[in-house]
Amino acid sequence: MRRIIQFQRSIDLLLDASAPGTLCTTCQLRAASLQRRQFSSSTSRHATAETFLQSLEKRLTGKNPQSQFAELKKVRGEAKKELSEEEYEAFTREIDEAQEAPTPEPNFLDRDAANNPNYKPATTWAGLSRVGSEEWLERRRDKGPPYKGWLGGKTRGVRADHMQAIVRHTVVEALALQQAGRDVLEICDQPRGLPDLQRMALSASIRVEGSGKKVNLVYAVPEDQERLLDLPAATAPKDIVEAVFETTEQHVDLANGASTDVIEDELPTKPTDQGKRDEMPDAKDVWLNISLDDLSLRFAIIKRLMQITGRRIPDNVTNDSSRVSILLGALMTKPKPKRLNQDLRARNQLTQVSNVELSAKRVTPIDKEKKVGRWKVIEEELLRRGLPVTGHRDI
Amino acid sequence: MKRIRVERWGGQLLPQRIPRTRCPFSTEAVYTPYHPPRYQAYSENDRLRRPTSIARRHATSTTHPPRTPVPSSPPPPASNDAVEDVDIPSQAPETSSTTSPAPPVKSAKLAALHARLSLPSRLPLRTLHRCLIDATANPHPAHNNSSLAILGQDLLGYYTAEYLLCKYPRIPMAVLFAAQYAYIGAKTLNSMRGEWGVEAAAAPGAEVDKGLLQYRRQKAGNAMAEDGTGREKDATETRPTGTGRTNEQWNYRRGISSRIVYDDQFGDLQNGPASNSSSSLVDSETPASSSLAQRQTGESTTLEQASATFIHALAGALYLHCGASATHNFHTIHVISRHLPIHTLFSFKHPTRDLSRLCAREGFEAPVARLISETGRASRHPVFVVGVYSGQEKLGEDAGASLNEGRIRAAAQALRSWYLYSPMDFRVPSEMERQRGKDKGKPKAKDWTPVMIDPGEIIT
Repeated sequence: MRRIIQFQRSIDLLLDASAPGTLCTTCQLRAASLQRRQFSSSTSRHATAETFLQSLEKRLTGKNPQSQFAELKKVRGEAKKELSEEEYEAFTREIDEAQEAPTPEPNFLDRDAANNPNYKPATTWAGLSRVGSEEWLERRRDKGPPYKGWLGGKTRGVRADHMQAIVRHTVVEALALQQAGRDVLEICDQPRGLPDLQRMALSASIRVEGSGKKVNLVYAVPEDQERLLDLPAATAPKDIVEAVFETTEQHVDLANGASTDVIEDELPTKPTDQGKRDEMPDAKDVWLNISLDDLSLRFAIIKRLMQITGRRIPDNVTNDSSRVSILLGALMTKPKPKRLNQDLRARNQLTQVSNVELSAKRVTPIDKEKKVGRWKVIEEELLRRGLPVTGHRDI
Repeated sequence: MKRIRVERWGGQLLPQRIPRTRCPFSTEAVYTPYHPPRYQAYSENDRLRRPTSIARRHATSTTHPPRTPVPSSPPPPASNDAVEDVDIPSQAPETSSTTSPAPPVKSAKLAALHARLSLPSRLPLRTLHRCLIDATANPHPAHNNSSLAILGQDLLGYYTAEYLLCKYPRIPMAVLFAAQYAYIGAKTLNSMRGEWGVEAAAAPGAEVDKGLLQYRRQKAGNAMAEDGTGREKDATETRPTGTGRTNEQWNYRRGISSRIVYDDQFGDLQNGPASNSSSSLVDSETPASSSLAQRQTGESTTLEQASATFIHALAGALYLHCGASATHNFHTIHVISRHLPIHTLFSFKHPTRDLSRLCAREGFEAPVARLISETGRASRHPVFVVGVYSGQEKLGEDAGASLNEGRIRAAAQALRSWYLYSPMDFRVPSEMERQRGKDKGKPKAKDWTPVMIDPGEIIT
């Protein structure tokens, strides 16, 4: 059914366009398919005034791959001169993606007696292209704009007991930037360097005044503040998870400040035992009550946590997390497994019972026949009679 | 006479545990541990392959006991069920140290069966799985149940026979055969398999669930024969040959005594109803693919036979893994617990004559039939209750529609009551073996008192 719709779409395209009536339907269809193989476009373009980009595209959909490649090099150079930086970046990105696509079909318009006087119809099928297979159609199908998510798709398995330290780390970073008057979203921009990151973030003592609205960061070593803010770009978010839990031998000195109005957060001295939550020494969890009413702070922290853990934090959690503790609670709950099979295996109840079997996939009638040993007999007999084993014949 | 140690010989049926050291005086070839092949579907090559190592080990165990005991083979942990002097011997090893351990058997059906039958935990699932594989499904003797079935069949037959003989000391031989079949015949074991919830696979193979009984099915008896002219069951049957009797060419009637000597525990021919021997009397028109031929060559079998083999194998495996007590317990729970109206197995031709001869032999007064009560003599359905008396003692009574019938029935009833005499407390001989195992170190609970042995039935 799908193929028919797409076929229809190409026909509609042509009918919409102001195509001359002299072209036969075959050539019109070819033209439509050619047009639709443009760079990530799903609507037809009616070229009125040709921009520089469009002229480049025309040159790139050339006749054979070798000339295309040479053309591409020339085109890149020209584009660099002509276009602005942003446009050039977008353009090179498009070209790279187009290069990943399979080699385009040759120009069919030349293979016609009407256009080309030297045209001779072929007598054999050698060298002719094949039309109409499933793969051919799949190549022509418009898959929409190529999209890569910024999370990367893979969740890094951050354990629940490490999550607390990571959240605290992120909160400290964000607060540091905020208090320095910089844009809080910077914590997401570049990969942050790691050598002293852990120590610096952990050594910062958080002072909360009032009901969590006003937060002060006091650094054990004053230079830490500058260093926390200007870190060299180095490693990817996934390394933060590992680096935060490297066992450090450094003993972090607490910054002691005495003020009766101020609740001071005492720090964990070092990550103990790879983060056993119950054994974290003297963590009074003051920092858990820091308010996230400031939305820019909230979004920055959430985005950074999503980068580090690889997990998507849903909108309702974002909306509800007015305090750090709520956010931490949402992160520490394990996501529900998507399949019942995974859920049961995780709970470990039924796997230990010997008279229960869990199947990863749906148990089909063929599986049942296989279990009984009848399937091979059925299959053999069907093949002997020339009948299709599964599905219908010829489809 | 020295007690026969069945467990020593039977241990060879279990998978290998350690390689045996070579006895310096033995003449056999050096034993090499074999790697059990992966489970295969039936193939021609497997059928023809002969298990030489097992055959040799059989020979040496009976003739040359090894002089060098195998070192470092720890005896299995003692349990309540183990017989006291089972030093699980060098001939009963489990997995060789040089072979890789076989993958664990994982099947919900199998585990459920093990639990449902309350089998002891010493019987591993792997062995239970082996018991479910018939020789027609996998011809390799280490992977099918044929060897275990031989042991189990004899054990079950022994326990059943001793029970019947001790309980009914005067039981006639024909009735004993019939009762034996009723308790552990193929038909009964088939029902038992169904009651246990063991299902049969449609076709054997490695992908089949391990809790199913695997065997190769035989063509149905009413299927068309190969030549297409008639049905298989109508194929001409030959006169039984190869029975072992010296007079079989004369087609003598197979009497009870003859059956005791030559036939199996049920009084049936050893090789089935009609054996295909190379005698010239065999009808040449018999189709080669007849069901009987298939069963004898081991290509296919019936569900009944496969069920029987499975239960025999289970008994054998229980004996090897768990000892005699567990096996006898199994027998009591599953076989003896079945209700058999044994009085229905009797059939008399001339009961009055038999009763007279019995009374003469035993020295009783001659039996006299007396009318005890009657009703409706002139009606269409009279009832005459007749009693047979020897002197003043009534031997038996029964009712009949005529005086004659009443008399004959009463005589038959008297004979039944004689033959089905049962002592109040009876003991079986195998009890002594099990008792000895349990009360190790303690004084024996009871000495053996001989059971009653009858002169025999009346034969006319």
